[in-house]
Parts: sequence; structure tokens; C-alpha cells
Amino acid sequence: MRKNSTSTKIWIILFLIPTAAVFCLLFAVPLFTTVVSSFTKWNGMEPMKFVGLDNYIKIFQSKDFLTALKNTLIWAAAAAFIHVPFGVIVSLVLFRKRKGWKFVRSSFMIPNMISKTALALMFTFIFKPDVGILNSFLRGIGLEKWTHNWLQEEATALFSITNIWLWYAALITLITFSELTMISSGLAESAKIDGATDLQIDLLIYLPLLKRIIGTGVVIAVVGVFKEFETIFITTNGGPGNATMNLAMMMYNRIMNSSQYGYANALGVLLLLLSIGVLVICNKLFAMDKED
Amino acid sequence: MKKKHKAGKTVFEYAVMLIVVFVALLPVVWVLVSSFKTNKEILSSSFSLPTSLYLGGYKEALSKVNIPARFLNSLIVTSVSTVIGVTIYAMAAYVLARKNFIGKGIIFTIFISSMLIPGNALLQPIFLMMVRMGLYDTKAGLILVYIGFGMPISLFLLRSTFLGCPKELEEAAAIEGAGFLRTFWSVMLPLAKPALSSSAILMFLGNWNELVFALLLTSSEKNRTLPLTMKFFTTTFGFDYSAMLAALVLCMLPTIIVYLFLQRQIMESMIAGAVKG
Amino acid sequence: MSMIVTLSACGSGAPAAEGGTETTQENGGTEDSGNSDVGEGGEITFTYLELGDQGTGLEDFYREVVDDFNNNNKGTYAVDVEWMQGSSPDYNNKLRMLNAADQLPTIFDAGGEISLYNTLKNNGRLVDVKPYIDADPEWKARLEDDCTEQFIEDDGAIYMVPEAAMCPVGIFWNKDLFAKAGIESFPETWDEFWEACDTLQAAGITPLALQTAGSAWTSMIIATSYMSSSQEGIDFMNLSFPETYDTPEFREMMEVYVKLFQYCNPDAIGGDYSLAQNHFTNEEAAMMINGAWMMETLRDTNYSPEGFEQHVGFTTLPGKTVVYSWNQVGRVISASATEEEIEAAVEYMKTLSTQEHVIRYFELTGGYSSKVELPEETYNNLMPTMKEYADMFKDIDHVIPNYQTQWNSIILNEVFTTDLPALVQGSIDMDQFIQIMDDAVKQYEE
Repeated sequence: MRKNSTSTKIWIILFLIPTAAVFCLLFAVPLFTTVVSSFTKWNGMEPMKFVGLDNYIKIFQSKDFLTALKNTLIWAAAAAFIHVPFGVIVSLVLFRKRKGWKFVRSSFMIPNMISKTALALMFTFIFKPDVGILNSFLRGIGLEKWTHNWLQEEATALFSITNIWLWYAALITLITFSELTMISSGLAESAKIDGATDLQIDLLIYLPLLKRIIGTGVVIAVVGVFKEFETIFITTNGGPGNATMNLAMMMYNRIMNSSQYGYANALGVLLLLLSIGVLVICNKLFAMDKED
Repeated sequence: MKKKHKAGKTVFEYAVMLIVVFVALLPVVWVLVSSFKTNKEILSSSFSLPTSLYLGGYKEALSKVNIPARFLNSLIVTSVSTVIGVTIYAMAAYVLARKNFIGKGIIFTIFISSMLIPGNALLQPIFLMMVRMGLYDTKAGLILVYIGFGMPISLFLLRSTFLGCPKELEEAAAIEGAGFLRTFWSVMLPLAKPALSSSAILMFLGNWNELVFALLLTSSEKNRTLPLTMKFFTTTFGFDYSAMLAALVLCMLPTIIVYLFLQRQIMESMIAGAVKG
Repeated sequence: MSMIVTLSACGSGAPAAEGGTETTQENGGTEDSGNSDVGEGGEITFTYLELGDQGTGLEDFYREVVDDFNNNNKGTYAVDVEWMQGSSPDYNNKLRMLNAADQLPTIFDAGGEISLYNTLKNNGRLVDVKPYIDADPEWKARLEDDCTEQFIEDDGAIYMVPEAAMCPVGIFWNKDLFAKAGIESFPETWDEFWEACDTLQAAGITPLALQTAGSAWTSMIIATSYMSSSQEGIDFMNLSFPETYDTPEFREMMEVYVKLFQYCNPDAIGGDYSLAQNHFTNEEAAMMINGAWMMETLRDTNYSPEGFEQHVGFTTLPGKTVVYSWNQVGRVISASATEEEIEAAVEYMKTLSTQEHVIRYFELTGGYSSKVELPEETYNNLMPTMKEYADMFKDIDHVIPNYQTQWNSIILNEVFTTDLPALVQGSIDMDQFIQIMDDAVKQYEE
């Protein structure tokens, strides 16, 4: 390791200060409050009362917790094993620049310009029991018995909500595609001359070089679904029963409906720990800290 | 045999592309078509074409809300925060990726933890902070918050890119006598262009639609942003989906047009720097 | 409970047209806050947070009052309004934040969420307005007696001032569809009601437009109105935050609730208010529970077919019952306000209840005061359904409190949206549901 000169040291500090300032202004206090208040009884207004691990014990005893945790983990798995791979495949397909690829490139980002509210609204119309397009389609092809009140039946609710976000992987596609453009084309070309198929090039040349960015994508996507409650809030609120409850939705409910900030923030801490776990695993798995 | 294999592959590629286009365009087309329908039609036959072109939603949206003023607010708040955000995160990400100093790992982890805090835990502390700093109901306050929201993804993305840049170029610059700033500005930043534009796109789009903090942190019309317009039309006992979707179209159309227009430049700038491998 | 009815067809000395109420109709436009003429010449300016609820006429009404107030008090008082956009949860959430930052507006509506009101009250954040009410007998006389009574807290103070007029919830019914099924008049008792439902259904008509999302408004109102059938039920509904729901009355009411879903639109489970309203205004369902604020949509072709308003009736729920709580809307004054701001805000409260405003309130959203006679001209200009609504007040036997002000927010926002669908679909039974309700009570008290 080379030692930094004094001027370099100063530059390093100067380069970090703005980000550190934003962090301190916006995130330091919430982070601190979340962790500390999770050990207290607090309604957000009166002073906190220290209660030790009470909130955590209550959470583990709550009837919704296991389902919420299970659903949270199902979503994490769906994000890591379906959402991210789908986004990566799209970017690899795009990168082959088949006829019409420019049109796809222009359109894939567009859903991100629409608010989640509108997206969820559209999906409620898709999943509606009577005139919803999905049921109408099933009836149309004679599969009457497959029709459901998709968002409101225990068996189908989670599956339906998951589909509202699962295929919208524009972020993943964008970051992997931009990483692909940084890879020199020489490698792929020489491999081609050696008789490698497109698939081999993707698997053996591109994927290893994309490792770090895929890891980044997995972390962003998984942490994103850990925190996701808006889609649930707009469509089912966690129901029917607790079929679509997740930890973030539980947390939202405890803040909004009973001002149990201590309890809610204990859930927040659990989410934080889960996220750190994902971060550590991805760091190892994708060698994200290593320079090339 | 090989030919068959190849055909299968092409089918697969086009299937993927078709799915992407379908999934991506369905909501836009739906919103666009529905904005010309009456509430009756939207609710009773959500996916059919309008029987006649209903413009009431647009009239309502344009008469109730000063759309151009709000559009301008959104544009100011989102662009300024994106420019500042991407700049400062590029600086931090560069240092965190390429320089060695004590506590580097910890600092990065702390910065990244901003991504892990659940949104609900942020509301009250940020609101308090803004009030204390006198930034409640100012554009500056929203800009600051939006800069913050871009932190984790931009930092993550840019650091990962800087890590992937070849060492040789940096070393060559050092041999030529380029200082810290020049190496950063004329060697590293151009290399990271694709990632810079990605994080700018993500930050801009993420904040363009932000609603929760915009609702909490502004109180006067002069600071309200465009997405809040949709809130106008879905209240407890009143709903006006025609007007809401019309407002949504007015909100997203400029972005889509600008994006499509700029996209070629963005993508070309990406292709400029093939450095890996 | 009996209602004094003074609505007369010959309102003689009506001072309604005095105060330029028509001039302000236009201002629903782009300028949002009343910033314009604030602060000049030593006016006392105070802040006011109001929910801009478009499409129900409420916002139009408040804008008129604000303009009148600012015009009439030029030089002395000025109110600076933030018209908050969104739903009432958004509004209450913002109030919570403002409170935590000690930035509460001088005057706001704390009726939307009773638990928020209680927290504010218990933390000394609200001003006791009783001295001001007592000091102005004229104002006091304009408020309904039984409601001011009801607002006196244990410490003898009054923190929340209700509206001077009530907006009770009754039932809209489609006369054409009823006629098609061969039913002449609207059923008065529950037995007749079920009979009518069966007849409608037999004629291939969906009797009821219901929903479960958004605290189950349309369905829970009609179910809770069933409580007027017995004294025990009435007593139960009058309990604020009951300690247990394991009572025979509640159980019976919930059986009624489940039964209602035999007669409703197929998307009621999980559906929201807009779906329910759309089924009714599109003549797909014969009845819908709501208040008079829905009137305008009946003649708005954006929502309803042409001429729809001509064949919609409005009446009481079975058992001559309507649903209303005085504390579902109520203005309070922040204790952080200065003495002068408090006086100015009290003045605004008074303006809200003047006779001319109460009449406008009726015209715009159906707010009804037993103390104000409706001028004949106003009555004659009403649309037919609104006339029926006005006539309804002559014949009300019971006013059942709105469950939204009596039950806690976990029940309203969580249990109802998630467990009512489960109950109606049969994936949990009544015992389990009541257990969940009681668990919610415990959770809330934490």
C-alpha cells in the first residue's frame, strides 16, 4: 500500500465531506433514533421509556411476525433469483443488438417514469374479480374455474402482488447494460473467432466481468423489497388475514395506527440486520470489494 | 442441428425483448388511454378503448392545479438535486474505490446504511431536521432530501464502476504529473461516464415521482411539485380517476419525451468508454 | 334520540343572500394559499390547515368561509390556509409531524382521528375554548346543544368545536331498479329490507354496492346501523373505544355484516369506495350507503348516466336510522398560539357557524342544522334527491355514532381491511374474528 501524500490526504477529506454532511443531516439521526428507540416504549411524542428487549420479545410472539418474515424472505428470494436474473438477461439480449433492440432500449426504462400508485391501480384492474382483464381472459379461453379474486384470496394474493413488481427490472437492466458497454469488444470478438457461441461468450466472458455489478444489483433489489410496503398498502394492506403482510408493512401499521414507535423501530432494526446480512453475503459471493 | 439451435436462440431473444416491451409499455398505454375515459368507463371497462374522447379529466386537472408552475418546481428540485448528488457521490465513490486510507471500509458501510433505514423511520427525524434548519416549505429543503435519497444507489454504483477501472490509466496519469484533481476530472470521470449517466437517470426518475416527502415538506403552492397533483384527485370521499390519470400523463409525458430525446446521447456516451476486460 | 325539525317550506326572513356568497365560487383555481393579503397593516395572521377535499363540495365551502372571513376582518385578522391535498390519513400524518416539530397550525381539524385528538389533548397541546363559547351566547346558541354537551371533557374544558351542522349517512336507492323488481317504496324495517334484497336479487339486480377497503365504509355503516334495533346495541355504539367486542350485540351485528355480502357487487371484497360508488351510479346496484356529499356525482356524466339523478331516492337506513358523530369533524386551536392568534382563530370558528354559512354548507355538502331554517328558495332549487334528503330530517328515530370515531385505528385500518375479507370468505370464523378485534384493542392500549 502506497502512502498518501499530505495534499492527497486533504483531497480525500474534501471529497468525502459533502457526502458525509448529507449523511449526517438526513440519515445519522434516523439511524440512531431507530436503533435506540427499539429498546424503548415510545409514542413519538412523550419521552422514551427504556424497556430492554420487550419490543423484540413481543414481535417474536406476535401472530403476524412469522408470516411477515416468511413473506419478506420470499420476496427477497424472488428479487435475487428472478427479478435480478431477468434484468441481467434483458441487458445481455439487448447487448447482442438484434434487429429492433433500439426500440426495446428506449422503452424498458419508461415504467420508472410512472408513479407506483398508478401502476398498482392498473394492476388492481387487472386482478379484479368481475371485469378484471385476467379473469376475462381466462373465461374467454374456457378456463372459468381458474378465475379468482386474485388479490383477495389467501392462495393467490401474495403471488399476484409479487407480479406487480417482479418483472419491472429496469434498474438492473440499466446498470448491467452500462457496465457491459465498458467491456472492450475485443475479448468477445477474439472468442468468436475461436468459435465460441454467443451463449458461451455471455457465460464465460461477460458474466464474470459483470459479477460486481450483479452483486450491486442484488443488494439494491433485495434491500428494496425489504423496505417495500407501498404496493401492499395500495392493494391489500397485508390481507386477506395476513397473507400478504411483510415486515415493512407491519412497521408502517405500528407507526400509523398505534404510534408504537419503539415496536415499529424494533421491526426496523430487524430489517436492518437482514439487509446487513444480505450485504455481507453478496460482498463475499460477488467479490464486490475487490478491484479488478 | 446447429441451425436449429440458433433459431431457438433467436426465438428466445425475441421473446425476451417482446416481454420487456409489453411489460414496459402496458402501463403507459393504459394510463394514456384511460386519461381520455370517464370515471364510469375506467371503472367498468378498465381495458377497453374509450367510446368517445373525453377531455374532462384534462380540463379538470388543468383548471384545478397550476400545472406549468408545478412542473417548473419539479424540474428545478429534481435537476438541481440530481446534478449536485451525482457530483458529490462521484467524488466520494472515487475516493472510496481508489484510495487507501484508514476507516475506508467503515465509512463506506456507514454511507451505505442510508439505504437500509426503512422509509417510515426517516419521516419524522427528517421533518424535524428540516423545520429546525428553517427549510420547511422551501425548495432547498426538498432538494437536500432528494440529494440524500440518491445517496446509496449512486454511491454503490459509482464505487463499483471505479473499482473496475484499470489501474494503469491512473498510474500513467501520475507519471505524467497529473495531480489528484486532474486525475479525477480528466481520467476517471470520463471512464465512469456510463455509470454517471445511469445514476443520474435513476436519481432523476426516483425523485421526479416522489410524493411522501413532497407532501410533508411543502405547504404553499409556490413550492408544490407535480406528483402532488395526483393527490388532488384521490381524496377520502372524492375520486376522479380521469383527472388523476390526466395529471399523471401531464407529469410523465415531458419526462418520457426528454428521456427519449436524450437517450441516444446518453447511450452513445456510454459506448464511448470501453475499458474493461 | 329525537330530532327537532325546523326545516320549513316558508323560510321568511332568510339573510342568506347578504354576504356576497356567490362571488367566491370561482376561486377554486390555481392560487392555493391565502398568502396574498396577509401581513399588511398590523393584521393578526394565523395559520390553518384544511384538507382540500375535491369533489365533495367541502373544500368549496371552506374556501368561501375563508374568503368571507378575510374580507370581513380586513385590517384585524387574516387566515393563512394550507389546503392540504390527499386523504385524511395524509392529513393526520402531517399533523403528527407538525406536532412533533412544535409547528402545529393555529387552527386545524382534529376530528378525523380521535386517537390523535386524545394524544394532543392529554399532552396539553390544545386550547380550552369553553370560556370563549360561554362569553358569546349567540355563538353558543348556534351550536347544537347536545353536541356541545358531548364535547365537555372530564376537566370541564372544551377543546374541540364541532361543525354547526351535521352530515348524517343514510341510503341512496335507485327507484328504477326497485320498480323493475316490483318494489314500490323503500323498506322501513330490517325484515322488509332483507325481503327487498331477495326480491331484487331474484329480479337479477345486485341489491347493494359495498366495499371492504378504506375501513369498510359502505358495508360497516349499514351493519352498525343495525345496532339501533336494540337498546344494548345503541349503548354499545355509544361506547368510545370499547374494551371488548365479545358481546352478543356485536356478534349479531357481524352476522348481519356477513349476510350483506350475499347481496352485493362481486368485487366488494377488497374493493374500495370508488368501485362501490361506480356500481351504484352505473345502475348496477340498487342501493348505496353514503352521505349527501355524493349528490353532485349523481348528475355528473363523468360518473353517472344522463338524467340519473331523476330517479335516485335518499332515505334513512332501516329502522329510521342515520349514522353520524359530531366529533367526526371538529376544529381545535393549538396551545402554542399567542393570545391574539387564539382570539383570531375563535373568530374564525364563529364565522364557520353563521347562519348564511350553515345554509351554504347545506347546499354544498348537505350539512344540516336544526337551528337554521332553510329558505324556501334554497329548498326549491335543490335537486330531487337532495329534497328527499332535506325531508328525511323530519323522520329520524335514531342517530347511531359513526364507528370510525368510536373504534380504534388498528381496527379501522388493519383488521377491517385484512380480516373482513377473510371473514366474509369464510377463511376465519366469527369467534376468530372477534378474538382478532379484541387483540387489536390490547395492541392499541400498549
